[in-house]
Amino acid sequence: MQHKFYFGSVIILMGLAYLIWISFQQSTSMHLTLGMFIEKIQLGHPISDRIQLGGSTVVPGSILWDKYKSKARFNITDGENTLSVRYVGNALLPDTFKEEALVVLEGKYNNQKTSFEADLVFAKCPSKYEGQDYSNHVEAMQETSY
Amino acid sequence: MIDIGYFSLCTALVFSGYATIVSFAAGRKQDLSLARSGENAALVTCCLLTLAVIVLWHALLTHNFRVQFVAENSDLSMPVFYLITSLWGGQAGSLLFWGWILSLYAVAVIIVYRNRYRDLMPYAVAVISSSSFFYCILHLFSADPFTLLPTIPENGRGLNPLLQQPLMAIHPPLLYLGMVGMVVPFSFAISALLSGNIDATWLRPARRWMLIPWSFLGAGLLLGGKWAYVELGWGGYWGWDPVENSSLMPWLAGTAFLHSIMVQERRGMLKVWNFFLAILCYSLCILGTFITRSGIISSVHAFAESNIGPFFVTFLVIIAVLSAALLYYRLPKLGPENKLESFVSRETAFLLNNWILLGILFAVLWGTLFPLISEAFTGQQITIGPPFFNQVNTPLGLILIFLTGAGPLVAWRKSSTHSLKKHFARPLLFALLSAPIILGAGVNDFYAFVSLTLCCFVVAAIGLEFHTGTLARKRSTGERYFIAMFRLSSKNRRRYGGYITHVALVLLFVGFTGKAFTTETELVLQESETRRVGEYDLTFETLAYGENAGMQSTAAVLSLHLNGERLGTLLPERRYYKAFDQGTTEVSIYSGLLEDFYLILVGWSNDGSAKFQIYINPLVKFVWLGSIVLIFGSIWAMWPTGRDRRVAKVDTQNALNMNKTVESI
Repeated sequence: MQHKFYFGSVIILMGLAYLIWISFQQSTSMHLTLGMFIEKIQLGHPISDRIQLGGSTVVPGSILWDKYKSKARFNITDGENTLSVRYVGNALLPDTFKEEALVVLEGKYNNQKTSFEADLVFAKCPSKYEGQDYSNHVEAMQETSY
Repeated sequence: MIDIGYFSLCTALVFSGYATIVSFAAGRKQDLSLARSGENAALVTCCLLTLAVIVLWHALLTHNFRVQFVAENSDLSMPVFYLITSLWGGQAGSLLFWGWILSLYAVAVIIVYRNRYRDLMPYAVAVISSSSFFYCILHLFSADPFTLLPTIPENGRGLNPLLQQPLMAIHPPLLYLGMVGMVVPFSFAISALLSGNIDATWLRPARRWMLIPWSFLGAGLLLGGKWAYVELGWGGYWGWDPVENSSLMPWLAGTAFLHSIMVQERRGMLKVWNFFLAILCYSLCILGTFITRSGIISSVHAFAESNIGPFFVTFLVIIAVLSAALLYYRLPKLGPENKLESFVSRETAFLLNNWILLGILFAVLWGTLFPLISEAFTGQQITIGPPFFNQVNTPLGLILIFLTGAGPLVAWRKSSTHSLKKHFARPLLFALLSAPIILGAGVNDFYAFVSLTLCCFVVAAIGLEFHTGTLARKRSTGERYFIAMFRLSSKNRRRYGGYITHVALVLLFVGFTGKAFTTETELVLQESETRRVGEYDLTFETLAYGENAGMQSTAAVLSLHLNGERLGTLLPERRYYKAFDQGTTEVSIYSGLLEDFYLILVGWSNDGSAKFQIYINPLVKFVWLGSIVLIFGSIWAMWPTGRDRRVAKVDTQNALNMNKTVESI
């Protein structure tokens, strides 16, 4: 009986591993900061189909909305590099999406149009300086209009 | 005033440390007076933390912006309700709140078991106090809620309007009551290992004190989903985000534990496994807190970066290593009392249940931590999206729901073919008869079809359990049918509370199945225009503008008709909060039993037209119904029965008699 039990457990484990393996392939995206992404593009390094672009903010004044404010084109920057982005996702852009917001994008890079086509946009307002340098915090507090 | 708060934290650190050391010594020496001293220290710790929390609440309510936390998380315009809930609106305050809840759990356990489980209690108090001590360290050295600013700002920064929602306000406390509470079963497990009392005694307090946090955690998870659905406007309620997964994983481990302890209680098997699960549960809680608060994995919930990560990692490593060592030490004495005799037995069903739950847990853990793993091994961070989680968890979930129905139908040790035929026949028949109806209703997706058919099977199996039990009781007591059913369920709360919870699971699965058929449409409407959406007729009547001191709003007024009958008015809105420079989307939902009509106002134009996005979400209401039934079922299962009270009384008497004997020597 013990043999049957171990055998059964092994079968279950293998089934689980297989299930995880095949589901894996289709859902991965490479996480890159904007700087790393630009570098890879310029050096011609291989990048995966799906990319998650983090650590950048929306350039003020760069947001171009369509007629009903459902889709937008905008530029993102990390202070050094800039990239143009087109939102092509189905869902609405999050409420937190606006100028200078910190964004994480997921999507594909369009080589011909040299723009990033994002189908997922996560945004956060930049004024939560939890845990960072105190002087940054004071600055941020003063920037917020009371 | 603030100094009192800070001083309380310092003193709490001392008392929790004292409680840990003294309770541990009390366990070693089996000395009652030392144990009482340790327990008293834990009680004092709770009082001190309560004082600290009161001080912080006072600062929030009196707008004391000198305190950094108050300035960052509240402002002059917030109503009292949100001032209170802003206690957990920022890192330092929420950690203090967490530590306070931990101390409240300690007090609860101490009071409830003051005369019981005397060989386990000292070590249990030691373990809980050591966690308390860790959180006091955090309060003082990493996230001090009483840090003062050098100058007093005129106004605070306030709470983002997205978070000023009642659902959002209760969500953290529920989750904390869940995650924090899992220290209690963990402490009883460690206590059993330390004291050598490794028979089934520890399972009794562990079970009750796993059920309580497990229920809170489940409620918190579902409430978070409801908030996301109603407030965020992407039409869904679960995104497999790392922070969401962090609170799901302990819940999965807890569910596995609640099932596998039944095998140890009945057959003396899975002893090591139960210890492992209790340790795993608490470790996952700490891991979850670490993932959420350290910002190490980017998530839509929090981009916060802070120095708190290393504290949690250290704590987690200490706990994991010490627990593993203890378990290894006791391993020789933890052999099973019985062996698995047949694949067709309830033991096997529970084992399979645990395998599946842990399989889901592993998949979720893998997917959540993969960015860190891939970065560690390849230097490249790779994230895993929702499709992975859905693809793996759907078949696993289907096996799980099947077991929910089949498990109670198989006997312990070995089910004879006759018994199987007798118990499975009617539920299977019901499922087979439902299958064509389900197909006929248009369910052509394979997983959805299997899911709904299995749900019918489970409902029939549970219904049969209630029915046969009621009939048996009727025969002996002559009560009326539903009275008999009520009395039966009250006397066997574990079993029938469990069945009610399983019904809840079925409802949830029905709701989840609906996701396979969600449709999404975008359309532009002119004023007074009507358009057909699915089977509905949507008429855009007009735009309406509103404004008050803090907020501007544009709403669209629409009416919804189905087959000529007017269903209602929909008012999707777009608001703008000036102080925060923050817009919000207020979704308008017409919620029917079979589907939700989910309407978003995307934007409008000067020519009077407006663009709308519509999701038709089938069966979502079943998720919220299932949530309510789950809470009801958990409370039903937890509620002490007459038998529990009698056992407690006997235990207490024995303990008091033993004390008298000891004192008289």
